[in-house]
Amino acid sequence: MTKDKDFEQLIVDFQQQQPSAMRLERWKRTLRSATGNRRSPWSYVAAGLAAGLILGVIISRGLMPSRPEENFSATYVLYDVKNF
Amino acid sequence: MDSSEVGDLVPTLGPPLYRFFLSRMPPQMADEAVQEVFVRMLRLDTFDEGKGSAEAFAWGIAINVCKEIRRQPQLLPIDDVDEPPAHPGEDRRFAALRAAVALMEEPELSVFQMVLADLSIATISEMLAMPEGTVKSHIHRGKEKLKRTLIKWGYQ
Repeated sequence: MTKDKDFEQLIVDFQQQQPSAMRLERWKRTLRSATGNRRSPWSYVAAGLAAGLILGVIISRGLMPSRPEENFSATYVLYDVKNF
Repeated sequence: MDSSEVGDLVPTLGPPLYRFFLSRMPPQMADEAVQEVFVRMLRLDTFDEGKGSAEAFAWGIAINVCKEIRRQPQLLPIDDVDEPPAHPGEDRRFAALRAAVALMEEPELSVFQMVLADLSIATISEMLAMPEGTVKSHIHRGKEKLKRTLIKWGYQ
């Protein structure tokens, strides 16, 4: 190792190391699975819209009379009776 | 970057990145570190094509990953050993070289790790944003230090 030539050869031998084909394939596979687990920003937008819609339905149902058409029909009945 | 863009870089960037990490850690850890670099390339939104190449982005991440990993107790430099331990199936000269590299300090360390990854001086200069002359002088000093350490450990 004291010889420069031996040291340079050690460096060259180190530089010739290669990862196995199996390792390369696994790195690619990990990338594919990492993409699968990644949530798109649009999924948050969709979740927000769905939550807003559900909340909107609940609020509107709570504020409006359950069967408004009954009141209208009663008015028309009275009108009809008066003009009979 | 999306997964197909990063995936296309695996065959060309994977081997030098693997050697880069292998110069500082055992094979299994080097394997996981390369994987971490590719996953971070995918997840980080900081890549800007106008500011530099995907390769430079990858090497920037690799240097950070290496800094994080080498704080682990089993990777701390050891200078008082008779013979650095080799991992199963590993050339004992490579284990000694790795232990000697661990005693180097920045910026020589990153420069020499890139030399062992088999990158050219021009590429190292570009990746580390360092003039080629400075890279060459770091390489020269790094080689002298490595040789001294290996001789001290009895590799003659």
